[in-house]
Amino acid sequence: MVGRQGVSNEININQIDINQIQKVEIVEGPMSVVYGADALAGVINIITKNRSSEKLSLQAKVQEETVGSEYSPFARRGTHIRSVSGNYGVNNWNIGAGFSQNNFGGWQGEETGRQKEWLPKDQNFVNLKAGYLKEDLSIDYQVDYLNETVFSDGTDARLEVIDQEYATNRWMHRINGQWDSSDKFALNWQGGFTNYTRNTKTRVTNVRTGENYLSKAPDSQSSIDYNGFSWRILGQMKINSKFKLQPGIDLNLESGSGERITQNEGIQDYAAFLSAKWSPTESIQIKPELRKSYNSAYEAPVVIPSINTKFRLNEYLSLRLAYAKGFRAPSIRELYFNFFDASHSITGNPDLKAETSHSINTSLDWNKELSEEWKIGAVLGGFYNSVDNRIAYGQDPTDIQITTLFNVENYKTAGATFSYNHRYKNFSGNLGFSYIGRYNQLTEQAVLVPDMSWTPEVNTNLSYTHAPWKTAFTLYYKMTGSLPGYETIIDSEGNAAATEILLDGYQLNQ
Amino acid sequence: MKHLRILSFTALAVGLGFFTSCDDGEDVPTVIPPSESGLIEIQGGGAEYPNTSFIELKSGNQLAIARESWDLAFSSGSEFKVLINGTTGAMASATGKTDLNEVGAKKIAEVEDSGELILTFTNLQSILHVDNESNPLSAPVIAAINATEDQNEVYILSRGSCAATERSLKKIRIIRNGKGYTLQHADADSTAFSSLDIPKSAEDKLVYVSFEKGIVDVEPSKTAWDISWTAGTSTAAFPQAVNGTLAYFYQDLVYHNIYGGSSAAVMMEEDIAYESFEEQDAASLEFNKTDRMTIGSSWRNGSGPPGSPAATIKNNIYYIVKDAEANLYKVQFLSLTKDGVRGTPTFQYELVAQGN
Repeated sequence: MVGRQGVSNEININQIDINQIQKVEIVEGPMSVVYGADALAGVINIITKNRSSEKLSLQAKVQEETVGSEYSPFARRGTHIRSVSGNYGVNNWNIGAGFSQNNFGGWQGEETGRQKEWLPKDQNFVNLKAGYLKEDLSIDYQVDYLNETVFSDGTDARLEVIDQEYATNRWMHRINGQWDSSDKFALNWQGGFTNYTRNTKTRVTNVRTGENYLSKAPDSQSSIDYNGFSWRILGQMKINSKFKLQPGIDLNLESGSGERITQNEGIQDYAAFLSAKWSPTESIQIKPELRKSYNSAYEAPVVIPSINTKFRLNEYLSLRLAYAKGFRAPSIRELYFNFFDASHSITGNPDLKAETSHSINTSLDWNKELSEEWKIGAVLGGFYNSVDNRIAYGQDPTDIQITTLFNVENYKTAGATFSYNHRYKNFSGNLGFSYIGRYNQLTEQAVLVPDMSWTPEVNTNLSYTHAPWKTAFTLYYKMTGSLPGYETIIDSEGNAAATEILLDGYQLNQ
Repeated sequence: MKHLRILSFTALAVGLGFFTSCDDGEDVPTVIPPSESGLIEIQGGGAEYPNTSFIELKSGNQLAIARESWDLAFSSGSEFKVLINGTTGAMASATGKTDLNEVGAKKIAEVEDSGELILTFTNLQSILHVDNESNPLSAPVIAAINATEDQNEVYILSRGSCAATERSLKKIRIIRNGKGYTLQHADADSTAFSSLDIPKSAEDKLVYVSFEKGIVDVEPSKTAWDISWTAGTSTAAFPQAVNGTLAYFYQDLVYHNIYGGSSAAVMMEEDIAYESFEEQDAASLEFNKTDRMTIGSSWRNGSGPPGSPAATIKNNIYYIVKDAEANLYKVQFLSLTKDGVRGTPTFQYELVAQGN
């Protein structure tokens, strides 16, 4: 699956069919050379189910969940998931199809009346795939279709109740393959095309007459459209047993249109990268990487370097050290989105540059097998990121009535993490601790607050695998410490001072 | 017996003179009894809320006029005071000069550079350039017109561009003219100016003037309205701003007619439900006669920057309005929208007690 999340909404993690997920991999460390923009902290690989070896398989599944204490079977309240899928393999070919449905009844939380904190939604997923596999060549094609409707009910009112519905249609085509020309050279590629449309529908109900009709307010019936194309091709060259080269090309084309988005020509990003892997001895791995890129919409760093190293210190202990220059691209929203009302005037800034960063990551891994059935391990890690040209809101100097986006501030994060795990027969346990600091921007205004504010987090889990059933029982606990925030107050003499406020921490038990 | 009506503006009843009984102080029987209850859709003009609407509860009459249709309002009272148009976000700056021809490019550049005449949350001195939001005649930005002619300064005036057409800066100077006023005005960069004589009026508290059209009709005569709905300049507490207050443009302000003898009080549903409010409940209420912002925007929850929830109506508040004849009404806003469109709110009202 190819896409970004966070700064732009191309892949929304809530819009992935969980029935299609085989596993989730988290690749830690700066990966900006290979993955380009945004891959600052790492990459989450959501690996969707692919081929199966069976000749013919059919699956059907029904899942019913409560949400908080809200549930009623097969109806609005709670979560109701049902799916059917089938797979057929013959000779070198494999084809599959799946359909699943997710009806989520929403969750009221702290809201009252008609409103819900988590909005109810209906999702329908269709998945079709075809694959071809021979010894030296494999090609897979998949298409996913999503139809989703999210319901946002308005507040109770004495006369007009205004409800909104957001309907999404998304097509995602993917093709990937690998060709092994010899044991010295291999080529693999991944291509994707995504089309996404979202329609907003606003309905008015007159409480007194019971009439229900479409709202006549401007922008209340609207749509946005997004198209994204990506293509990556990577060569794997084995020069000798100690040295490998990986050249690659990365293309990303995206365009969006809709209400409040300035007419734009989309964003085209072209990049070439080269990475090498050098292992002078068995216990040393060094991976230097370079990426050269061009972007049509914003100024991206022309060349970005990174280096990842791994040293095996002894049988149980290994050390990783990595540096990367990274960057985050401005999103279509930040470049082109405009918002105006009675008291707000906000425009995108098409002249934004990418945020750039320096990241250093290090970790020390310790693993020991006490016996075949008893394994223990621990990881101690640390990271430091410094971001320049951070994209932030400010006042437009040519028209002070308008708020827009600029490359302004410097932002830093740093942290230490520790995790310990233990596996004995069918039991496994994990204890993790992290302490993460975020740079406080108020320090730039010379106000007396600490440079960084720190948040602790603890998570642990214990799980038991029952092999005959292929079932795992897992108990989680997670505690996030309160996040210190600061607010500026003005004292009686007009001096600014900062006071610490604690944003509530939370715990999660399951 | 209550009856429900949708009432719209009928100009006929305005100024028919059934208030003369009050003015004369004679005990003449009321010609038309005050209306008992109703539901009024305010003709705000829709999503861009272009209008100010004046409503008289007694007759159910509504008069909607474009907020942009006037620039200055001259007091007909004993004092010589002039208001700028807060309903478009107008702002003014004194220039220190008393000759219009001495004010030109230099002053314009000064005002434009400082941004002092732009009503935005980034203009921290905005409060110094607007009329008082609660009782504008008590503290207008234009100093009371002095009997000594050369004591009256030239002002640079922004005609207001908040949900209104952006228009170029004006320079104005107002002097007394016997029992009335003379307005000298021109575009701020102009070398010639026009003069307009404005007499005070016996029927109207304020005489309205447009630079283009001269004297214009805006509000109904002095006591012929009780509440008005408009967008306009209000204020928000903001520690960094001058006087800790920021002038801020709000949609959905409701004024009661403090210059025409209306008064208002706020009621919470939790104390006495709207349905059960009766005449004797009014005895302990303090009716505000001097702050037209008593109702203000307190009947809705505000909306914020993008992503924050849309403005919503408050279901727990209503108002008691006493008109100039001491008729007592309860007034409750029901909706911010009509067919989902902002700028067309609806309220219900009911006569609690008949006045004089």
